[in-house]
Amino acid sequence: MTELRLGLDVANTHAEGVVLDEHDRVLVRARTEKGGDGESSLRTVLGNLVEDHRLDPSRITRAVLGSAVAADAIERCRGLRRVAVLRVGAPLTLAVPPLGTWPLRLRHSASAGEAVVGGGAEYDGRSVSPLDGDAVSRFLATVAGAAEGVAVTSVFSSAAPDHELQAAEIVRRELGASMEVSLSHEIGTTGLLERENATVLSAALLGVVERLLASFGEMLAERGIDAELFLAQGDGTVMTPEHALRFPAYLLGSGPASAIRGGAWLSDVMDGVSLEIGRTGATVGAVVNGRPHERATPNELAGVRANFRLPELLTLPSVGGANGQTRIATALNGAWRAQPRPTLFVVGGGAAAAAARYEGFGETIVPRDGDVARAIGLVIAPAAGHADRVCANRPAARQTTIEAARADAIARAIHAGADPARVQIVEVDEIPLTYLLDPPIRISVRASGPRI
Amino acid sequence: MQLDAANLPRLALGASLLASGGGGDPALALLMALQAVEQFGPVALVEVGDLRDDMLVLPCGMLGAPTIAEERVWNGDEGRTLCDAVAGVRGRQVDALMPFGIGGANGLLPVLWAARAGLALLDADGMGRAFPQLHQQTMSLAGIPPSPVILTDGRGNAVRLDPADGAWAEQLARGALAGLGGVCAAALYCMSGEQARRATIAGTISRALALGEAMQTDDVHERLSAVRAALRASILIEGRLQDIERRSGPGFARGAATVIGSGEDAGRRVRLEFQCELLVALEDGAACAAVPDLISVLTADTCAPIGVERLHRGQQVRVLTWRAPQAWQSREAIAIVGPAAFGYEIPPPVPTRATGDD
Repeated sequence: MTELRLGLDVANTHAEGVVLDEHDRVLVRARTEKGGDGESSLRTVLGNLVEDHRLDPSRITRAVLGSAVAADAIERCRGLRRVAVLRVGAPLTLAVPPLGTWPLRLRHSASAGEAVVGGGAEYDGRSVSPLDGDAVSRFLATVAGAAEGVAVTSVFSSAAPDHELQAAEIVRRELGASMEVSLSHEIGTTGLLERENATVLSAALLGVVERLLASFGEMLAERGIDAELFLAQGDGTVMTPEHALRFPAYLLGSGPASAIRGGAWLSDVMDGVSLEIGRTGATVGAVVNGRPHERATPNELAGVRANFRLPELLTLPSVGGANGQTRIATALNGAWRAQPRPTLFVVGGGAAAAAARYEGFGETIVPRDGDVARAIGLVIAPAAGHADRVCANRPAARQTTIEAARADAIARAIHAGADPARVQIVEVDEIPLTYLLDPPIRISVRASGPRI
Repeated sequence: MQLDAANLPRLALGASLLASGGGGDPALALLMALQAVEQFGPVALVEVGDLRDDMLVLPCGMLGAPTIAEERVWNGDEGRTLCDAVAGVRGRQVDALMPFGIGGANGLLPVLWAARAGLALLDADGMGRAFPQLHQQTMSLAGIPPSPVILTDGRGNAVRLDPADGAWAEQLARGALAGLGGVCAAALYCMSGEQARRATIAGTISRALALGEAMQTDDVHERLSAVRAALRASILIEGRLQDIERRSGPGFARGAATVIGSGEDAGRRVRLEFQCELLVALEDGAACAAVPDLISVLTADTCAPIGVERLHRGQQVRVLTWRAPQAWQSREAIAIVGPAAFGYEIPPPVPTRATGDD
């Protein structure tokens, strides 16, 4: 039994696809300079791939899709579910109401109403006030009939999820067991507003992802492909349909990270700098330990600040004209890098426009098939999971918290599709908090593994 | 002069630069301040020279971990609780709030509280930057008593302390902080208009606004020049961050980062020692900048300051340093905010490059 794997990526300006064989060789590839509306360009690329006589579609066992459909739905406020937004934490947090910073149009499209009720915990998981269940019920009564989902975010739920779980129980009691409930502790990062925004976006995008999975599955079936499906995340890792339906916000912005992963893999580089040149613009990123280097600060997409996990990028809208090469060189100099003279790899449809060498780099690689680097990145990407906790800096508390965070990260990676036998903890970061004596530490754990 | 939606983003940019790597990311405080001025109207900014002698000025800000505050978001009416408690002791209402430290989130939180309490804000502060301890304020040098010290957690709890002096204010407040969840609103050094005129660093909010304007310069190269000119800052080194160490133990978190020079600075290495802020810069074992002077690590491409919690290996940066306000230059001041107060036994810094323009 030989296994073929399909990767498809649809961006605003183009779409690309590739099938790798069991030896990771490119069997067939296709590219169209038409993007935007995902479905038609996806059909074009898929059609071009399967019409190649070298490919037997029935041998494809796995199909990975990188899609801008979720980002597009948010940009255009289209196809979003209306979500009842419940925050647990009053009297804290009232200085910024839920969705208080969202663009108005998006807020109207995605929200069925918002409320802040009493409850929440402290950083060490200590609960100081009970969940105000009556206030939850009263709020749900005002959104019944309008809400197509409920998003619940409680203060320090990563340390103490019980108020979110209790609120979910009340939702099921008041609005029925079939009501979709998104809970912020499953996202698991610290920073209330960013986590709340990601939870609400996830709940609002649920229908978009359901339709995406259905149409992708149908499209593959029409071509005689019966494969396991995966969708790409913003950090360039991939996830199972079940995981994608739980965290739809993570679909946002996957293209650049896929290009970095694919380019690094094609160039056989674990640490280096990536330059993706498109039809008009270019993007500079970096790869560290084979992963796209991520931004440390919260990201904003479509005017919403959230804890999207996205690569650190320098984006040049245009690299044409007389100063194009100068702009590229300046961006490359400012790019993150682990070594003084890293390897540079150049991918994308416009990679031929790159200069032969740029100042400050060791080798410059323009790999073959770099114009389908995104699609290749999708095929070879692992599945990953993260966890983020704050705990007192005491040996026992630290030990317990690190173990819990490791277990959470591994469970999430497995849920996203990683092979339980091969999933590993690839990073444990401990940062002591500032402005406290004998400070607690913030622990971030990342698990990653190849797919089964 | 007033603070409103048009100029608050500039204030946040300037406050982040004056934090010397500390103070917490002002992004959340900016959101809250913007919400507050939208709902309650702009905040009047009062110059120190316009204060009447009998006015009551209340310095206030955040005590504790900014990271915890980003999860345990503020109620918004902490300022009112602080004012009411002080009014109960002083027997009269507070007339104006003042940030006790302009650096980071602390430069913005008093705007939120003033807007919601309908109070004016004094264009001054007690640090001219960010410091970790409550008594590291010019009011303590000027002999203003810290009492009453009020702490509130946004849940309706208020703690009143009557410490003997500034150092005790810091010590007693730290004790209460754990019970309040690791972060709280604090007010101390309540003073008259007459006292505020001689005990504060005047004009720091205007200074932060001007800095913010420089940081909004479109062209990145001009932005660096504009920021340097506004601060009279010199560039310690341009290069890449490497070897970030962090350790947690008794006292504040401590760490160090090494910048490996690039371009014109190739071959140089500068070691940055930090706790809550960037405190000392060393080259070849000698200090080239030290607290109370300010040290800021800026991203090379956008000139955005990077807080100590977000320093990462591999970032291309420029390190700037500039003089602390005059109030911190005296021998008495150095005793509470100099390197030794932070546990560094180093001789006074020697500048490695001439300050000023290129």
